[in-house]
Amino acid sequence: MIQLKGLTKGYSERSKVLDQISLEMKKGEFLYVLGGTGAGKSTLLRLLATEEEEFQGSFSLFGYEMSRARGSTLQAIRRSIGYVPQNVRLIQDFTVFENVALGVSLAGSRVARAEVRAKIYELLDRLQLMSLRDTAASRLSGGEAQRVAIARALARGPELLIADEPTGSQDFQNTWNVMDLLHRANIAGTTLVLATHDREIVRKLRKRCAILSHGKVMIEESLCSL
Amino acid sequence: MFALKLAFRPWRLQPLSQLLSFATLSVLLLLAGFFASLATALPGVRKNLEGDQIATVFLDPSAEPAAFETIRDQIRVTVGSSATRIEYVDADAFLATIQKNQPDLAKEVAALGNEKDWITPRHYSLRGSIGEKTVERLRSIPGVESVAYSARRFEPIIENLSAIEWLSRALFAGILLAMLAVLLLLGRLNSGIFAEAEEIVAQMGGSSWQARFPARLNPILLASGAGLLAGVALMRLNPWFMTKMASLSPFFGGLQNQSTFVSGPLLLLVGLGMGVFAFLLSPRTLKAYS
Repeated sequence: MIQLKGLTKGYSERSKVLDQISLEMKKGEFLYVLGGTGAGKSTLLRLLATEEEEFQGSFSLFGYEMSRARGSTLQAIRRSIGYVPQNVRLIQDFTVFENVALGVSLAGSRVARAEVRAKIYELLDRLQLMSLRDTAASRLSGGEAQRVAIARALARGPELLIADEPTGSQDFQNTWNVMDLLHRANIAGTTLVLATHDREIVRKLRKRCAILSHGKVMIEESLCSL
Repeated sequence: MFALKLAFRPWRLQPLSQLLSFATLSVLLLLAGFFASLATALPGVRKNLEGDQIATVFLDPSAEPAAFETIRDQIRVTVGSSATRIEYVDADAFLATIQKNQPDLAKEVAALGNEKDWITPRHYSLRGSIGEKTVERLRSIPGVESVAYSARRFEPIIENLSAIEWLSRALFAGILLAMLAVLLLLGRLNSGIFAEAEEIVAQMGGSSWQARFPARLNPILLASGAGLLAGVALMRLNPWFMTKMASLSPFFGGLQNQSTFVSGPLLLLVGLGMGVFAFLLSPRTLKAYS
């Protein structure tokens, strides 16, 4: 599903954000991307979410070489991705429900409207957002907004889910609510790439991990041993 | 549904600037409507004046009164329907005309006895759209001595009206261009409001058309709303405006007959058209995801 070969991204020869990254993921896999601040985690995730266009090396997603993917191909790839960026990015004057529903409608879902609504309500309920469903995104706290972004990504039923520090602003209970949902999605077949600083999560939910440092994959383990 | 809600984003985030733009566009469209009405109505006024000529057909003094009927029929046949009035005038008719307003002059003329026919020769007075060729044909009628013709008597006024007509057209076009500029500038100013939403929509798999649609829909909504308001205002104000114009001069009399039921909806269509034009010309605000 994901194939990176010698992938490098940088603004000059000296400042490489990602340096010769090679990584392969099959459908249904779960990968933690770990590393300190400035290790290149967010850049790698943005790249996987097709937000970064300039890079060297080979990067293929769903079998498409991304350096050549344009137009309708790129749209189809993006429709199959659920992305939770670090800065959340909600439409501030849309309500919680509208933000999530917009994500579903753009995924090109052919499911009946009532079914979509039920699915969204279920997700909002699980993420303790049900009482905020008609609240404008601009009125949410950081943690709430982050959970809305997670609900939006999950509601799309993506083949690939990329989450950048999805529990960074969550309390204990919500952290595990989020992780439970992500884990369930993974079990249901969604490929998951998750960047986190939270060692507790990695220890309790042991999966494959790649540890980045200065833009390079320093350690890659099939079952993380942190 | 989402596109429509996004298109109204500037109204939620910057209501005052949107309201001001809406008012500006409405006033501009209303002015454009007035000028368009004027430009549409003036050719009719001009045509009426162009067709308002007077010809005086003097009869041969030796012609017998019994022949007058025949001459009048020949004049009628010659001018056809282009003359709106054919009036026989002799000394008695002339006296009757002046008696009311100029009684002293009437007395003096009456005192002349049979000689009054020399002062007021018998003639037919014709009024209407009479061309020079018709005048030539009138001259050739037996029993007609001569024809006096008021060729192009309104020419300076007609030229002035023509200038006003072209000025109205230029102002109409200028206002529409100003309106387009307002819409395009507003689109640029609002692009910041839409940029984030465009990125989000594009990142989630929306086409560049879907991403940019709300930002481009905004000028259509704004301009057609302004067109609707200006159209209703024009339907109510245009009769008043035309009456005031008509009161400036009797020549503008025809302006009052303009139909406002057509110009109102037309203004709505012009607003919609300008919105669509701005839609097509609006700058691409989406860069990173194109």
